[in-house]
Amino acid sequence: MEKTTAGLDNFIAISVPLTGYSRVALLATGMAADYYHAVRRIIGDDRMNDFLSVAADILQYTHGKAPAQEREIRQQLLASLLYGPITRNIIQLWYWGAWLPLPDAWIAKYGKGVKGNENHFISPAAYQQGLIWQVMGSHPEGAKQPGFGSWSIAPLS
Amino acid sequence: MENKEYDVVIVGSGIAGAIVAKTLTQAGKQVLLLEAGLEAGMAFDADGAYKNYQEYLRSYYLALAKVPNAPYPDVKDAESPNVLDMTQINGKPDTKGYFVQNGPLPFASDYARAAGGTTLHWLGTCLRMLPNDFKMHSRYGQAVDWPIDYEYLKPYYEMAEREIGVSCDVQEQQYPNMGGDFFGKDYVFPMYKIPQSYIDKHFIEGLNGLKVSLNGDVYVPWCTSTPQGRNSTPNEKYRYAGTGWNATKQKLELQPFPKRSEVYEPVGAIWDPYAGQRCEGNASCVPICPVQAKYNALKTLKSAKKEHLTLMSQTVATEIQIDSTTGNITGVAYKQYPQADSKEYVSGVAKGKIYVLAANAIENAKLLLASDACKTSDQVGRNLMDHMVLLTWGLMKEKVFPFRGPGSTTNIPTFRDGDFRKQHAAWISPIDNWGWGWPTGSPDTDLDHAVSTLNLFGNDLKNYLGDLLSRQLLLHFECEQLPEKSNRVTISKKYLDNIGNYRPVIDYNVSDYTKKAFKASKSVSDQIFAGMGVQDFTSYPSNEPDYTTYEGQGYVFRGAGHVVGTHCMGTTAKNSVVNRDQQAWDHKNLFLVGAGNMATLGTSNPTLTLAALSFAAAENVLKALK
Ligand SMILES: Cc1cc2nc3c(=O)[nH]c(=O)nc-3n(C[C@H](O)[C@H](O)[C@H](O)COP(=O)(O)OP(=O)(O)OC[C@H]3O[C@@H](n4cnc5c(N)ncnc54)[C@H](O)[C@@H]3O)c2cc1C
Ligand code: SF4
Repeated sequence: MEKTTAGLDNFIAISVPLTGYSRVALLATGMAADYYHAVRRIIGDDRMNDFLSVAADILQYTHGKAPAQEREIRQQLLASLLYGPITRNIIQLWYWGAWLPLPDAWIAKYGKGVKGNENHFISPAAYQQGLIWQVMGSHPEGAKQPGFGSWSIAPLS
Repeated sequence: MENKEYDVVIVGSGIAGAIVAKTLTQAGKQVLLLEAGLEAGMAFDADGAYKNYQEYLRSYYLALAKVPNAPYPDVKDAESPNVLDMTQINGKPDTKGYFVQNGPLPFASDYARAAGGTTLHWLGTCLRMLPNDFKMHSRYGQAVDWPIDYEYLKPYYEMAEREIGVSCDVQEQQYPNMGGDFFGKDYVFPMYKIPQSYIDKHFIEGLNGLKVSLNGDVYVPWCTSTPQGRNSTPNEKYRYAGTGWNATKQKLELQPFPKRSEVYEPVGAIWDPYAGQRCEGNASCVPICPVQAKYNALKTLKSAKKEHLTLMSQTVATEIQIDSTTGNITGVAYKQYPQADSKEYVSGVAKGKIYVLAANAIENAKLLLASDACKTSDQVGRNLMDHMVLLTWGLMKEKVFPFRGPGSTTNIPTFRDGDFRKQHAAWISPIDNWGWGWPTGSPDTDLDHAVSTLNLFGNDLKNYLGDLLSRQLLLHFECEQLPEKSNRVTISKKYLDNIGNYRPVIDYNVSDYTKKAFKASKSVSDQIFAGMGVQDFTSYPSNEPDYTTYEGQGYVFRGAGHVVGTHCMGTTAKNSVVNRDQQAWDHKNLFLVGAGNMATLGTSNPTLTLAALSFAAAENVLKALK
């Protein structure tokens, strides 16, 4: 239980710089725990724990300071053959709600024990909570409808 | 079931079948309706309808590709075509999906075999055809004239606009060569127009005053708000309660509200009349309107007179039986499957005095071919048509905030008619409200590109997407296709479905007449983009299913979902399948309804016209039953 909570906290903490959204905004989607468990379920406990400990180190050493943090995220996560595809998938999960299949080369090298790697929405709610809709001043197509005539003016935000 | 003889047996519960069923039952006739899909009864069962519809929505949310048929059950016993199955055809027939595609190009549209039919996932654009669309041969020396004209259809158009519940400001409707009395004096639509989008406003402003050259002529294109089958604010001047049969005059007529104080009430969801009374801006009309603010044929079915209507769902009509001496139809053979996807079924024959096929153009043709019916003209299955949609897309200079509101709320009608139709196809240009979704799969493809290729994350990603997705503009050029004998539906014993019924085999191509319109409309698009400072991102990759070339230039067209032709109406038994009354020339007690009857396509989306024709057909059936 302890461990799960700490893991989830780490997951949310690294998601903040990855997505560009605040911790509160991410929590407000209601999806944090679902995404965390989904990634853990798919890539397995060991890989997830390793990923989260690299992420925690980055956050700790850079004290959340922008240029250093960005460099570390790029060098240690995005450029890494092991962590790059996972990191990109986590970003896309937040924005779109769906898991993308990890590349074949990744699976060949690191994919032992990977389960449920196919392209899928985590849940109907995940689709509806995608950050991409907010970013463009809209709402998920088919949900959270903004009301009659709303489309004829610029979005309020 | 086999013992009872109904007044009329109808095949199909889409808008065509539902209009006929409603009109006949309200006139007191006993009707049996056969529906191939699941749960036609839901029109009369609010709880069941709600549950069913929530399941459709769930499927939609979870679907990775939110294509038109994504929300709806694909039942093996009554399969539906799916646009995802369409690929390039390389020499041999493509049999992957429900269609057997002989090509050379794949037919690119689909339909839904489910209760309520394809209006479940239509967009709802409701344009009338133009007067010259009915006279293509005499005006432009192309294709054929219809045996009826615009004036004939006008009262039925009004009935269709009442039935669908069309929102439109009549005074804004300006089309080329529409004549002085296109809508009739004082005519108004049931509801005011659906508000035009923020994109539309910018686009209209940008287009203002722009001169466009086409074939040496200069045009000043204009925009008009688009009439739509979705709920808006009722127009208090609208006076009609509905369409009814006047037995004395032997006519259908629009009947006024009994009291002056009454006003039109938008028709809400089938599970709750108060849901969906206004379009709420879900922006998912294709494939599914979550609140049913958009019209679908279950609404019409629901208003049929229940006591006079017998519904059989999961019942696939397989053949019409013909008396070889009189040519009259004696029954419709069907297969009823007890469970979706099972190989089992019960066979039966439905009997009536009159038979109406309303299974949609391709399925109607299949049924006729399977029955050896309507053979005199050799036209059954031929003249398959669709609008061939050339898309162009780019980035507006400023943020216009797409991905909101109904799919399209404004169009450019300028090129819907003109002398150029002697040389090339006419087209209509809807302005799309949903970004580049159709051609490129935005927004998630843009996200993937930004993350995987541009290596963006965090605030940079946010800013990049916020800018890109807010500026996307998409234009359609929906080009007319003429009736051609070689574009056709056939059947073959080689290709059967799960319960041994024929699958449609399709031969399809694009002619130079339409390709010339691709060239012309692309040039118009280029001039508009240049004139408005739109950054052009259009591309036509040669690996797309409907890639074609004209004068060395490549184009990609897409299907519009407008399945038309296949049992055309005409002047003689030799040149057509049905007469002007929509009665089969070869079988007096057989009526065909739907877009299959249309002799040419014009530039209107076909459903309003097929709905108007269905009212006319219902009137003719009532006269014949007298
Ligand atoms: C994506 C998309 C968008 C569209 N947008 C527009 C638009 O904006 N404006 C417009 O005018 N049109 C539009 N259309 C076209 C419109 O949907 C159709 O023209 C219209 O729904 C056809 O109505 P119908 O009743 O003739 O056939 P359908 O709606 O296809 O209904 C046929 C019915 O018959 C049943 N059936 C089929 N075979 C059998 C059988 N053998 N036995 C028993 N039952 C059978 C089917 O299950 C179905 O219920 C669109 C289409 C698509 C695909
Ligand atoms: S915009 Fe939304 S509410 Fe309006 S018709 Fe489309 S799906 Fe329905």
